[in-house]
Amino acid sequence: MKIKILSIILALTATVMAFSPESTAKKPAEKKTDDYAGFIAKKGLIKKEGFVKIYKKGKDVYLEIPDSVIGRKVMINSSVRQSSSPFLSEGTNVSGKQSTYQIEKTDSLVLFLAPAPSICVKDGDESISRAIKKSQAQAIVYAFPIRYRNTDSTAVVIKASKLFSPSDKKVIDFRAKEFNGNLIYDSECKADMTQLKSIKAYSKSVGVVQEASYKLTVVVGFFLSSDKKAFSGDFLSTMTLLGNSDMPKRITDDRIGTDKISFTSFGSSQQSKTEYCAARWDLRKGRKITVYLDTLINPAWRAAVKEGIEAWNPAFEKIGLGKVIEVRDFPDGSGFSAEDPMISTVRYSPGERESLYGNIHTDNTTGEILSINISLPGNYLNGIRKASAYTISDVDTRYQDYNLSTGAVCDVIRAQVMGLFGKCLGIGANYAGSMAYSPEQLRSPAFTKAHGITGSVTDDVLFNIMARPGDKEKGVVTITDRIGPYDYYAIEWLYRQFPKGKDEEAALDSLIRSKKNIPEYQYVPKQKGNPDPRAVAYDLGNDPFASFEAGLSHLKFTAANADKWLDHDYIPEDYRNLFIEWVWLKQCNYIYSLSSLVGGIYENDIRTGNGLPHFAPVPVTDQKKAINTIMDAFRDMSWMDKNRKLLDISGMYSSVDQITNANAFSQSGLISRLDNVAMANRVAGSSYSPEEYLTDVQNSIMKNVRKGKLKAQEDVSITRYLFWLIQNSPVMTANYKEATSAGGKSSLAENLTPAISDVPEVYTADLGNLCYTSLEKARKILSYGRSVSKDAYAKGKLDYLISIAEDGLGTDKK
Amino acid sequence: MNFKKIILASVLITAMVCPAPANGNTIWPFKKKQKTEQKDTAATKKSKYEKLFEKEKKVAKGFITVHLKDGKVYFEIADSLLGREMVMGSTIKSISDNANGIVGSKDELIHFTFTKSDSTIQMRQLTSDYITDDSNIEKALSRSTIGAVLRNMKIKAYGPDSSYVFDVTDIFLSDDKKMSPFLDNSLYSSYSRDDSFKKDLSFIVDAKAFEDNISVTSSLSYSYTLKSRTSGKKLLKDQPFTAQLTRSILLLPKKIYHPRMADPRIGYFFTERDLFSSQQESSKPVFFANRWRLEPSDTAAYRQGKLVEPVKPIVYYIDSNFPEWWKPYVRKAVGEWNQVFEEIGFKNAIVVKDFPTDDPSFDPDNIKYNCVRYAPIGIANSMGPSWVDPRSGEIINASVYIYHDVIKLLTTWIFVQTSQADPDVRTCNIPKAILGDALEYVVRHELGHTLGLMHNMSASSVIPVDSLRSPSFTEKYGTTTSIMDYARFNYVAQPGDKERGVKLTPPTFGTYDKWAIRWGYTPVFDAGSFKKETEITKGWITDSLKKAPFYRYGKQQLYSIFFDPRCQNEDLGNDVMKASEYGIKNLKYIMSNYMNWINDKDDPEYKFRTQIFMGILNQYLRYIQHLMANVGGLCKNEVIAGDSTKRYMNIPGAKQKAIMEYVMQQYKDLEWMDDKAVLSKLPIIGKPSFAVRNAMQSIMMTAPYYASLSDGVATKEYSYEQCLDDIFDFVWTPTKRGRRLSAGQRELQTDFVNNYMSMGSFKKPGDSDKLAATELEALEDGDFNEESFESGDNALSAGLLKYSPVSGFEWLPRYVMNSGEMSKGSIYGILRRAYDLMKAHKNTASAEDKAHYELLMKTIEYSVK
Repeated sequence: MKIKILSIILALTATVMAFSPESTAKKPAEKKTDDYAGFIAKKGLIKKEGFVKIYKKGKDVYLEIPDSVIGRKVMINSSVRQSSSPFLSEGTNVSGKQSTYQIEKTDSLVLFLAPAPSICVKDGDESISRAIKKSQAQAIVYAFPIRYRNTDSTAVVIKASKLFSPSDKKVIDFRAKEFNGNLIYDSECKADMTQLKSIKAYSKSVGVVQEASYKLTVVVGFFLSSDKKAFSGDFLSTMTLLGNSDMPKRITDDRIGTDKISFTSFGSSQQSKTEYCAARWDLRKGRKITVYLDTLINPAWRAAVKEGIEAWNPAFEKIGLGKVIEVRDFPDGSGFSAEDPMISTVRYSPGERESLYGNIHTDNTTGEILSINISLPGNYLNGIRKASAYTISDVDTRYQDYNLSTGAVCDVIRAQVMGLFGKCLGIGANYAGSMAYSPEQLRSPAFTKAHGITGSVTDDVLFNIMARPGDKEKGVVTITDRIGPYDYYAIEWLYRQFPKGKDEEAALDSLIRSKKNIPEYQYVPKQKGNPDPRAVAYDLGNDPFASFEAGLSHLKFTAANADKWLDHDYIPEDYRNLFIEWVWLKQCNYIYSLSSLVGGIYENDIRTGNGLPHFAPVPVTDQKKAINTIMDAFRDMSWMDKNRKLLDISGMYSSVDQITNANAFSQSGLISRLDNVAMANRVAGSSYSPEEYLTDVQNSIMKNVRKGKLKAQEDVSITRYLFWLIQNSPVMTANYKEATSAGGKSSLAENLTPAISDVPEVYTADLGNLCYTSLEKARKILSYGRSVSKDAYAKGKLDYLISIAEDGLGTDKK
Repeated sequence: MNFKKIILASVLITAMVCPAPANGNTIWPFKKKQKTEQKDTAATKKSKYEKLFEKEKKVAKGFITVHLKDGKVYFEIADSLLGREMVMGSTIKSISDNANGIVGSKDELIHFTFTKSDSTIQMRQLTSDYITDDSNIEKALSRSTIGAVLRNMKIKAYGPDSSYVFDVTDIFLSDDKKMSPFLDNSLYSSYSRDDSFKKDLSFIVDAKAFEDNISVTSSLSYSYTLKSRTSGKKLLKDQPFTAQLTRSILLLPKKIYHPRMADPRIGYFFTERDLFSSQQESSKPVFFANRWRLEPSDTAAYRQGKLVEPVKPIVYYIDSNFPEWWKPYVRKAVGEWNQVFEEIGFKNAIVVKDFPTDDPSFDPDNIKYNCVRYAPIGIANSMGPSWVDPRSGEIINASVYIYHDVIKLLTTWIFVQTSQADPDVRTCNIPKAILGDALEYVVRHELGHTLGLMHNMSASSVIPVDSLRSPSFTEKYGTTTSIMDYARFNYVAQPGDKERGVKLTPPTFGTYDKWAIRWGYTPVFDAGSFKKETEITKGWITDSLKKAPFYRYGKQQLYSIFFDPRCQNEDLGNDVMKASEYGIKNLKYIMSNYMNWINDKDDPEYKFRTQIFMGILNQYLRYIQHLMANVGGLCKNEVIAGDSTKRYMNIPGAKQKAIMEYVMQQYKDLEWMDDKAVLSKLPIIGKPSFAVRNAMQSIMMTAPYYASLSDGVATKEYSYEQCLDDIFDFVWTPTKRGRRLSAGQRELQTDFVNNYMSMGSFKKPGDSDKLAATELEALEDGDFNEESFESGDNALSAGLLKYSPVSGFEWLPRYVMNSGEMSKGSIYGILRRAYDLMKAHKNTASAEDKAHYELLMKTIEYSVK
């Protein structure tokens, strides 16, 4: 069904101007509105001319707004120009969330109105549109008294300092930004320490540069730091004229991933609904996307960035739009300013961040992407080292060296820019992209040369972790080198233009249907609680076990050889110290990915008629295999201890294996899967029951206990496991607390792991009984282990573990 | 035209041609000299009044003259207006987010007057709480009810007729909580809302004035923060917000409309006043029925039984912004009320008009006009509030608000309640004719409220269930005796019934509706006194109740204790078992078929089918609630002296027990909800029967408490002990018999322990230290009321209990001396019984059941020592 959508851009209601009100705000006492000439002639007045004229007089900013701008939308943006901390360095976007306004005028006021809510009326009923216009009118955010009118009354002058006030969080907002490794929770501007430095004008923007000082409250761990951090900087705050976009909305389809803007739709025969339109560039009528490259970036890197961005052009060419993306260096002179928020840039940002970051300016009424900015941070090289050294250095030896070759760096830049730029084009991350190909295909030179290594570069794929030493030499592609088939398809869905009269909705639906059951076109978004095991990062290929094994083999190689790469004085101490810990954490990532198979549900789309069930459980054999693989991996971490030189470089480690023993259960990812198993069992018909799952986990964890043996620190892991069982039942938790408060174990009681249950299930069953039974069984196994143990220390530890179990069970020890 | 009129006309014309001589822009050829002369003269003769309004933006002349100048508002009132009673109402004209209040909605009216003291004018809020029939008492009362001063305003100037001019800007341009745009019945009112007024962003927009009313429109800006009431989490922070509010002032007539004494045996909203009578030792509340001033234009003809028009019809204006296809249905529904008035001799009592485009005085936001408004917002509801003259109960304004998502409500009801019998509605696009008919029902119901009618929740309960399957009966009576009930669509009808001619919808008007209008609006002539008139109108009800149960009124049940099962929401028929059995059978039928009825093309994302699935579960729970309301229920009839009806009637014990058993059987038969073929297509839902069981458990476990309160009020029928024993046996028999428990049975036992520990205030593991002192008390605040349309009826403001044959004008009868037999000790006892049973059987139970028993025993041990 073709739905005619009438988009309502809610203009200021006529009634606002029906009567000519005077402002109740204090009227300017010093000048009358007809003294424009006097204002212009003011001594010390500085003027810049853009789409409006901007004036600086002392500490005040004035805007001269022509009638042509009345009714138009503007956007306020702020960015850092220079600062007292490299964490909030030049170019960092610090705009407030509320940043778009519509300018309106009454007889005596210039009003800045909040943006009109995005509402669509389906079936074109104009009555509803009129009702919405009154019911969702725009709120007044600023009201500025008109100070002067120009000589022919075609423009008015307002004092607009408030519009750029650095103490207003609508203008400058640091919240959720990183500062010295912590997140900023709040900021307080020191009003007496702000200073207007200069004014600016660009093609479609005017702005002010202000110096301001703040006290930042940061989050350290889970707490707010009482020690407020001082921070000062110069900030550019701009007001940009937005175009009157008439780009038609493209309604999103949850079978394909796009960035989206929400709107409410009303239909006269249907309830109101929240719907979404895709965020995308307006490429109609031969429009292009031009990205300017910072010339502070060295030429080789710039070339890689350019290649990464332009790698998307073939997808546009395929749908007949030609090479729509142009990448140019920052031009000299000619009025170009990289600070112009309407210009898309890739800039060098000398901060301490280690990965690429950026932001996208989108028109919230139509979803039109207006501009993007990508920053290459000062510590980007460190990020590249961390992404590569542990992952692929056995296959691509270039990444073993601390001083990476230009070629090695550029390969990563190209791949990562490619991935990030996909998001800049409006494509949402597709976590199924990495599952497009088989392990065999990923190790085939011919196949990888023909197809690359991933279905989509928007998945978290950088290197071909399925490759083994020698593969690169054989010609296997070892790093993402092109956009994937899904990316071509997503670009087609987002940007294909249809001739007038063509049923666009049907054509897009047909496009999606044409890709059904083809692995490289599958789409799975990131999910809360990871019910679908395809929606995980750090994997590659359609065999998660092979992927896990391959990842582990790279890590083992790294652990065995890294001492040789690190034994150089020019390598910073912290890089060397932390090296082994990064290896360990990487291993945890691989394990976490694998754990999503346990209780996993493949959610298939049933609309395209692909014949697959809506919900399909991961086969029980795979679920069990995942548990055993994970626990076995933890059980054999001795490989991390073999390279004593590496351990020495990293600090005073006696054994990494011990740390692993202690954390085996809590780091396994299995701790959060009980609810998933219950859900897969109930919803998707998995024959793997929660009881069986608990038994399997316990058998695996208690493997050594049954023999009366405990590895070093293994008791710590078992303690955490017992706590987990206890906290699944209020009775057991209460028992435990009661027992421990009397027995002096209260400090451990506080360490009970918080319940982890993000599974989006409507109806959950009480799993407390099962955990109670498991705890009883655990107690029996522990008692048995103690009875067969010949090790006095193991006995002691087992006694302690038994006491925890009994506390949880509320066993009467008398 | 006489001479005087000609002079007046020419003066007016001149004034229009030369509107602003003070500006000097006249068209006279001898401009310069004239101007100078005028200026000089004006300079010497200008009064303070003239100076004040020298360059005013607008002047609007009405019973109050309103001046707008420099962003300020001035009132100019004649001396004769001092002391006159007025009401002021604030209506939302436009708003930046209608989740805070919809366009056209109003707050309470402010009843006030202007007084003068030396050089100031006071705005005084009046009270109408008291009346008297004694002149001496009246004098005393007048000194005790002088009105609280809301504003004190300096007289700025005196007008040409010695009128008083004063600045009232602050009334219209301040943060007045009595006239706020943040309304209590809005979508966001369920959250905690903090607002901050922004005076610098607010201004006066316009003013209008007429013979009997004036209005001033202001644009007011705020910022507000929305927080969850439960978690305190901020949902919206510092949101900018602007609303235009029209504040209108109506002059009340000097002489009040002749009131009619309300009667608790018929459902009218009422206005309560306290009577200080010389004949009474103490003050006594009197209740006036809220109704429109409807008087025959030709009394003689009327008395002869002829149809006559009223002096002043009730005019409703239909919002021009209703979706186009809704409009004819809305118009029709409003106009249909004329049928009812015609039966009592009034022709054209109701006039339906579209918003006029050729009447400049019309303003839908002025409280003078009654409007049926459309609200584009995702609320599945509608409302029909009215505002009255507080002295007499005369309705002076009424509105109907229809929210957009009422469409969702209707679609779900129609589908879930009638798709078994009506193949036409087996679609997500219910045909407009059917949907429009349902919309008419909603509008007629709301309009009934605006005429003064309250809900009559017992209306559907007098219809025999079998009659609901009779073509001739349903054709004549529909599904209920009143559209003021919450009786929706015919869920009793079976497949094939529609084809036989059974009607599936409520009637246009029920017999009770016609009767109620007859009672409220039939004039009483020649009674001689108000007392005698009251005797007559009482007599009408007494007589009617003897004749037929179809005239019975049953008030809405806002509490779950002493619940009258005849007065339920969303129920049908006089036999709850039979009706529910039909309903449940139909739900099973719909569940097994509806996936195939819906076309994938119409519902590609299965959203509609998910909505219907949830609708089926909710409808099922409604049937369970209908049934369980009988266990511990109590029939209550309003009676007055001389009535033969019994005040209280307990539900027969056999019926209560049978219902209990039926619900327990239902509890075991919920697997049909876990229909794999259905669930495999919907988003992850889990196991619906778990959720429904949980809800059923709560309803069943509380039944003994209600039984303990109600049993024996009239007769002893089903004691709480019997009820509790039945539940105990149901829950624990498998244990007693040493059987292996199913997951559902384990859950039921867990719920038994948890529920009764909570009811008895026994702390459980996991409870916070701040556990409510007594859950028994908390239960009294709960109720079974489900989703409904409309809320915020003004009758909720009824005063304290003073006069109570049953509960009179209160919602609940007195029960101060009835705390029920069920005590904490009773609960202790049954928990111990459960404990002992588990203890006796745990060692022979399966491992799984043993764990279950041990955990439950530990739960009981936690505080039941």
